Amino acid sequence: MRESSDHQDKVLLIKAREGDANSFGVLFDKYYSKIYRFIFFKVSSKEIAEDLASQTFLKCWEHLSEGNRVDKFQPWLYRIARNLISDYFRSREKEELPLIYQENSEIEEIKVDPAQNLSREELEKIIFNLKSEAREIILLRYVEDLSIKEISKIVDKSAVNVRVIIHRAIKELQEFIIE
Amino acid sequence: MSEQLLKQLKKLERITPSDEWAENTRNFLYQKIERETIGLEPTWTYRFRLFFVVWSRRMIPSPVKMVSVFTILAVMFSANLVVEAEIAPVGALEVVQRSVEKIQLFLAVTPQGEIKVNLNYSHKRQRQALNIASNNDFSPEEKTRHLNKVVKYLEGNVLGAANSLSIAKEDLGDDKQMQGKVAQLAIEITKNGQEAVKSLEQVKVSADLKDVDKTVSDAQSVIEESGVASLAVAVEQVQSQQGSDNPVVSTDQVKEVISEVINRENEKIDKIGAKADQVGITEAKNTDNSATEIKDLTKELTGVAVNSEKAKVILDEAKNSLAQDNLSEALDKVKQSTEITKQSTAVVSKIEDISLGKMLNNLSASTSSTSTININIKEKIKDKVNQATSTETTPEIILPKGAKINPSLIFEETNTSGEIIIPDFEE
Repeated sequence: MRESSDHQDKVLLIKAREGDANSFGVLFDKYYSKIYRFIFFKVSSKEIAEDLASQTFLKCWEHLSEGNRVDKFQPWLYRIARNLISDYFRSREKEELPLIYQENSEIEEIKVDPAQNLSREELEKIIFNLKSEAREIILLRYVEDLSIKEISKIVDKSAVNVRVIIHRAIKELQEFIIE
Repeated sequence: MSEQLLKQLKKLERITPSDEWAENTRNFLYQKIERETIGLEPTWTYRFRLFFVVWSRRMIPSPVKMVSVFTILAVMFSANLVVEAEIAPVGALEVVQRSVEKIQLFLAVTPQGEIKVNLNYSHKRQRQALNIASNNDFSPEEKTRHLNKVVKYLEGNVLGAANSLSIAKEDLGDDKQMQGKVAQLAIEITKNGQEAVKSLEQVKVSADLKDVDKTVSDAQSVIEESGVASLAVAVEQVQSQQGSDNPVVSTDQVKEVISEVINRENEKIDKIGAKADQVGITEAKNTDNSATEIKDLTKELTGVAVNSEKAKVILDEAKNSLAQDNLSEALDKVKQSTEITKQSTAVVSKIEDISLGKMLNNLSASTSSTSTININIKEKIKDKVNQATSTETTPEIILPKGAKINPSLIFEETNTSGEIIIPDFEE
């Protein structure tokens, strides 16, 4: 299935590069939610996430219109988003941001019973309690269902390293479970 | 517990941007692309790339499919190798080999097809028998067991081909073309039989095992007989084709094969003569033989010599008939000669066996006083005499119809000169 999806992306990319807006539209519809979530769990702000997601697709088109070749679309798109997030944090360090854009550094104490039906808000809180690196990998693995290999390409780490991070993150998650 | 939590994380998929944002962004990107690419002609590589990407998936199979196909091919290839391998007829491999052979015979459908399959396997069995005979890794017992099995299979293949030929002959009708093809197959069977007989001769020499000799000789005899029978079919078909403008098999081809059969018969007669001389010399030197025994032996060997001469004369007549293109007569003469040679072979073999028995008897008497060996040798000789009495070619002991010797009574009594007293028969 994933192979078929990759192939479909390839065809859409070729068409989009030649100016087929509809093909790019299909790619956008397929990935915008994923990219938004990825950014949102990094920046923890809806507005900034939307803004960075728009920039991601814009960058994507610019890159394609320059005639650059793309082998695997999905990891490449995530990498663009990742770079934009890094740029965002780097620029934020230089300038003082309005209060609303500041990341909530306070860790909220939370304990849940996973046997029960947890709300989205509860799950969000748990995820935000994880370290940034573990958070993005857990999100990609258990929310977006990406393979270790795909994740390793996105986060630019070895597969073994990704496994180790996942293992540690799961241990960390145990702390939020009621014994 | 954490697994349950991880499963629930899937709910985070519901976090999505606002529809308004999605709509606006899509429209923005759409317009930008339209604006930037307006009037832009697709590059010449575009269609090619698109075609390649779309069709490559259909034309080039996925790695899983490729691996599967290669695995299947590898399995088929290795199974074929196993079948083709010159292996000893043991274990699972033999089962595979025999099953493949049966499947091929089943798939052959026509008698002509069956003949080809049988001839093909006959060649394989010949090679297999030669390989086993010359292989020093086998113990004599293993070699004997394997060779006996392979030789029996070979015999079965040649007989199978001959049987299929007789079926094919019956279904012929007046089709000249088919008659020619059947004649061709008949010649192939005869030639294959001749090759098989030669190969088996080599097997005898290489293996040098008494127990194998008997199986091989029996098989040779059967193969030669079926060869001559096939040749008769060839002669019949060639004669029915005479006058045809374009015969599939020429008279000369059949003549050539008959000529080879005659040569082979001559060789056999010479061999029997040499063997008879050797046995005669050995027995004459044996001081234990009584005057009566020597006399009987001389009579038998003289009979063999006379028969050999007679067979040679018949073969010469067969040659003359062949020279006059009288194929049927030549073949009849060959059959007569074969029959005589067969009788002579049986007589010489019998004398040889009895001679061997006596030698063993003397050896045991001189080397050991224990009766165990004597009893074994006696039993062996009793078996030989039993075998001899069961063949038609032994004129010395003629039993009433339905009668048989009680082996326990043989050699219990001997006269003063050591001559065998044949006991009463059991009805």
